[in-house]
Amino acid sequence: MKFVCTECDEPMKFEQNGGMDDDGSMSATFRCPSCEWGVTMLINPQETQMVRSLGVKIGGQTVPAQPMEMLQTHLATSTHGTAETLSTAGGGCPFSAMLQDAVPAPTTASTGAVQWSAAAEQRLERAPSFVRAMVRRGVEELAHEKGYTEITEQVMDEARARMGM
Amino acid sequence: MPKRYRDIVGDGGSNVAGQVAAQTARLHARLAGVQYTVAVMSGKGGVGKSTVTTNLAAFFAMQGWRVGVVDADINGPSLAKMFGVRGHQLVLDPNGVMPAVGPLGIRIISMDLFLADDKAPVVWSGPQAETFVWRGTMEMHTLREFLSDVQWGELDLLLLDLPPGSDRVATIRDLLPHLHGTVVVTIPSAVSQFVVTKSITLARDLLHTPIIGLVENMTAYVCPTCEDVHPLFGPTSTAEMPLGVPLLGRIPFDPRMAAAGDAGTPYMLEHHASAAGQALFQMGERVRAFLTTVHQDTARSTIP
Repeated sequence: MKFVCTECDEPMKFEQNGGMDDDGSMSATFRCPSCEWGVTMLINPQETQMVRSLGVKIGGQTVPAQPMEMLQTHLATSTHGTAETLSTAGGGCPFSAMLQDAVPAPTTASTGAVQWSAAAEQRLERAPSFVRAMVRRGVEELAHEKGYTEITEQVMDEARARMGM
Repeated sequence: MPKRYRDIVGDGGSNVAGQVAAQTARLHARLAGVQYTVAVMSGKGGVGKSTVTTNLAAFFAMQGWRVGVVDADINGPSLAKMFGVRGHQLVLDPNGVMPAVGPLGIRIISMDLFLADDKAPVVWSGPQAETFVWRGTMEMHTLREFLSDVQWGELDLLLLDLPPGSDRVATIRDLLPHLHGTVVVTIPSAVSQFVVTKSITLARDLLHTPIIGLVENMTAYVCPTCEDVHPLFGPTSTAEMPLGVPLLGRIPFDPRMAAAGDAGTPYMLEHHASAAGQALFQMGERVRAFLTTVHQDTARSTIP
C-alpha cells in the first residue's frame, strides 16, 4: 500500500502511528514531504491481522526473522516447550511494532476465558523478546488457576512474585 | 494524471516485498539439500491420502532413500499419529526446528506436534470475528515455515500430504515452483472421480504441476483371515483414468491398514507381502520410475 499526495504528485512518507485500540484496530499517519499535507489511515482489526499473518513487519526487520516465528507468535493453542526456546524479533519502526506485538496473542484462553488489558500487554512488551512467550504463559497459567478473566498489571505483579522474578 | 502504484519505486518504506523475497530465499536454501519434492493430493476428502503418503514414505525409506514428510493439512493433521510420533517434543534452535523422526528414519513435521494436547484445535491469536479475512494467509505461511524452518538436512524425497480440496495445490505451487510431481488419490466412486478430475485439471492444466499418476484406493476388500478379495464399491472402477492420467495402482482395503495407521506404524512395514502391500509396492515403484527417469537430470548418485 502506498500513498500519493494528489496536489504534489509525491509519494507520502510514514510519520507516526496513532496507537492501537483493544479490538486491534489502529491508525497510521502519512505526510507529504513537499506540502506536508497529511492523511491518517484507519485500519480495522482484520486488516491488521492480515499483515501480521504474512510473517512480515511493516518497515522491515531490525534483526533476521527467527525460525517458526510466525507460527510461534500467532498459534494460540501451541504446545508447551517450543516457544520459550527461541527469541522473537521486534521491528524497529513503531508501525511495525504495533502490527507485530500490540494485539494480544491469546492462548487457549483466547477461545473465551482470559483477556489481556492494554496496560498489561504493553508491560509484557517491555520484557526481553526471548522470555516474552514464557512470561505470557506463566501469567496466563496463574490467571487460569485463580479464575481471573482479565490479566491486569496487578495480575502480572502476582505472577512475577510467584515466578521469583 | 496522478501516479499509479507501479510508478513509485519501492514499497513506501514498508519493506514488505523485501521480506517476502527473503522468505523465499530462505525456503530455497533450506530445500537445496532435497532431491525430489512430491505432493500427494485429492480434491476429495476421506480417500486415503495420508495412508498413501505414509506408505509411499515407507516404500522409499525401505529402498534406502532418506525421506521427509510434511503434513500440509494444517487444520486436520494426522501424520504425527500415523507415524507414531505424537507427543514428540520439538526442539528449536536458531537454525530451525528438528523434525520428529519416525519409523525407518522418516522425518516428519506436522501441526499436531505444535498443539498442546489431543483436544486442542488450531486457534490463531487475532480478531476472532471474520477470521476468513486472514486465516488462509496464516495457514499458507505456516506451510512455508514447515518447509523453510525445519532442519530437513539432506533428503532424497520430501513428500507433502495435502488436505482435501484443490486450493492448497496452488499454495504449494507458489512455494515450490520446482515441485517434481503430484500423486493424486481417488476411490472408485463416480462422485470421487468427478471431484478429483477437477483437481487434476487445476493442478496439471492451470498450475502446470506435473502429475505422476493416480492411485485408486479402496478398490476392494481383502479379508484379513483368508486374503480373499471382494468388491467394495461395486463396478464403478474405470479402466480409463480421468484425463488420461497414468494409473499408479489400485489399492484394496485391508482392515489392518487402518489398524496400522492407528498404531503409528506404516502398513508396508509389516504387511508388504499382502495384496494391499503388493499394490502399494507397485505404486512406489512407479513413482520411483517417474522420478528417476523424468527427472534423471537432477538425480544424485547417493540414491540407492
